[in-house]
Amino acid sequence: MRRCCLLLLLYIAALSLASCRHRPEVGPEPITTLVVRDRAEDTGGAIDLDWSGYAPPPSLDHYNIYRSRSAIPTVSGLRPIAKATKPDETTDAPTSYVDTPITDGLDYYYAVTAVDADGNEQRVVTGAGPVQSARQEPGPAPPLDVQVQDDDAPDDPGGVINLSWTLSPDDTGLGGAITAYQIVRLEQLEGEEKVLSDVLAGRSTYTDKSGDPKVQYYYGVRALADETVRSEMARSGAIISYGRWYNGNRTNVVVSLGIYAALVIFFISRARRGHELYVRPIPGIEALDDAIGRATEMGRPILYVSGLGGASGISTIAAMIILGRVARRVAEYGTPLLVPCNDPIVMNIEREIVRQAYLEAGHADAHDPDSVFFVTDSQFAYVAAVDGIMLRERPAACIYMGYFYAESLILAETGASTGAIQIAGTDADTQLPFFVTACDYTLMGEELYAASAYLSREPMILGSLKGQDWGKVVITALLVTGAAIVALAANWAPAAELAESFKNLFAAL
Amino acid sequence: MIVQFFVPNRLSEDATERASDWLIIIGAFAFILGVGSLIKTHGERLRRRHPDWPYSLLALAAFAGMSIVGVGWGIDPGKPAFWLFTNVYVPLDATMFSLLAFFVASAAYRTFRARTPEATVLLVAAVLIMLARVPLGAFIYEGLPDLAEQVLISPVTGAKRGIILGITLGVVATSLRIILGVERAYLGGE
Repeated sequence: MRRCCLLLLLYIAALSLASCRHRPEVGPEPITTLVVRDRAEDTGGAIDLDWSGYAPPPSLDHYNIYRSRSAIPTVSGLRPIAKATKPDETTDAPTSYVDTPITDGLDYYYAVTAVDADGNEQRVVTGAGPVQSARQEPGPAPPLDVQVQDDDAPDDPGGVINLSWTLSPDDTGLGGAITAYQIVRLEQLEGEEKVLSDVLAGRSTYTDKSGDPKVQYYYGVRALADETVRSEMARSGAIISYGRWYNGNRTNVVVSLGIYAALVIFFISRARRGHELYVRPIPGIEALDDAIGRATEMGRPILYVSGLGGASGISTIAAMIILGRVARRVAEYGTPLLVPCNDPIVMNIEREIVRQAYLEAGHADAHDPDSVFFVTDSQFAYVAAVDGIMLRERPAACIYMGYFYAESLILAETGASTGAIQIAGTDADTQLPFFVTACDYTLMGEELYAASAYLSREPMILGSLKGQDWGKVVITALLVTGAAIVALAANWAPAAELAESFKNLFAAL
Repeated sequence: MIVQFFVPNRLSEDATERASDWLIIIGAFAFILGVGSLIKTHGERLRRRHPDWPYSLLALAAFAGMSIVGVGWGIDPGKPAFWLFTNVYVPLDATMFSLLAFFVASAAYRTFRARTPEATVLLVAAVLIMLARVPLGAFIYEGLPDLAEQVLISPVTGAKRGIILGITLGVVATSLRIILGVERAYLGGE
């Protein structure tokens, strides 16, 4: 196995090297005529870029525009802030660009590179800058009284700030002089702005959900008349947001789980004290022993399919628990076991489970590690492989435990055609009808989770099963009570409030 | 994830995200073991000239072929791997899925027989629903589609919800057993 994995890793490395390609040094002629200047007669926050003196090559596809707070000797490692592309095949790409919005009073550096149709970007870069933007024209009146507050919702993760402001005096609603309000966030009072969003004129609230908790922020709101005409910024005070440590909306879930856990723990402790616990017989679980015995007598293997769920799925974990019990009995009888797996993590876990089962049965030498093997993680490819195993190996018993999708009937029908005894267990309610019709025994839903208790007969696990049953009693009582209250409320008005309160107890559950 | 459900703080969100990332990374490494198992299983069959060795050869050849083509030329549209996926794998996948229709028919033929009272109820309900889904049902009796809808809304949905209720409680109980350490069989121990 180790040699196989080593060979596989070397093979993958060789393929990776083979796929490397050497790129020759090509690219368009560099742009050396970039001019940057503050946009004239505006209200700030805009820089004009112009490279109209550049002669573009015929193969030009677009220009990349870069911005930085420091000089740009190379664009390696930088991401372009924009691309200037051809509007159509017959028109050249534009040779100017307006960078907005940016923060007034800060130095910015720019670079523009040409990219050809093959994706080659010019290698030599001639940057321009520094340049600052400034307000040159009076704009509309700014909004007033910007207030900020840490969000206090029960499910607040932190970093959520509610903003509110008084509308600009020039705001006459939609279609008026003000078109929108620009919301910006700063980490320092005079630092670089980060534009969060624009909200339509007439609105005076905004919620910022993109902040980090425990970080101090300042917020600013500007009124916009158009893209480059804007008011002075109205600033808020400093604000730090904190997340909640408990979601109050889920208190009913906590209470429900607490009651249920208390029932389970009560019956587990009862079982530990030696009380006998009765559980009803489930034919499917009792048939497991018969199936294993049948396979042993016929000298044919047992096929165990643990579904298509991942290792984190609770139904897959239940299937793995049952596999452990089945493997223990298979080891005692010396019956061959085949476990084709759909998930590599599940395969590794099941290998360990089966190996341990053989060890505990005292037949470690009879264990074949390759009896648990990976097939594929593709749904129908897996089904095709398992069907092929059934038709070639002719198992005497097919056991399907776990979560299944559309392939359930294909598996069950193929198994039925080979004459194998079939026992299925799944919590996929959409697949239960298929298993019920095609298999000899079916464990439906919760019976899959109860199988472990039945097979082990351990008092503590049986105790948890009793707790589970009493949980159902509690839920049934609540259902009947709720139905009665709602029916009463339909005919007697004073009961309506009681019905509403009862329904709210289970809201968001 | 249980903690994250009740604790909305960004710290628990980040921890859950980090755990999910780790799960993906571990899954990727586990995949190497899975592929190793695949190669070993089929390699052994080839070496020992198992009676079904041609299938193993085909499986290994398909694995090697797709790996070489995919890694060597890429998997973007227009590349050979994409062509193989679209023109070989997808039709094969659809073929397996289409078998379902025939298996539904064969399962129905075997199962819908009035041997017991429960089987009779199953037969009547199945015929009712099948007829109601085609124009013939409305032609036979115009109220048949509504009747079938009522069957689906009331008893079927009720039974389904009951099963889901039991499943949910079973999931919680099993999870509690695992968290409390009562159930350890899935770890390879008693």
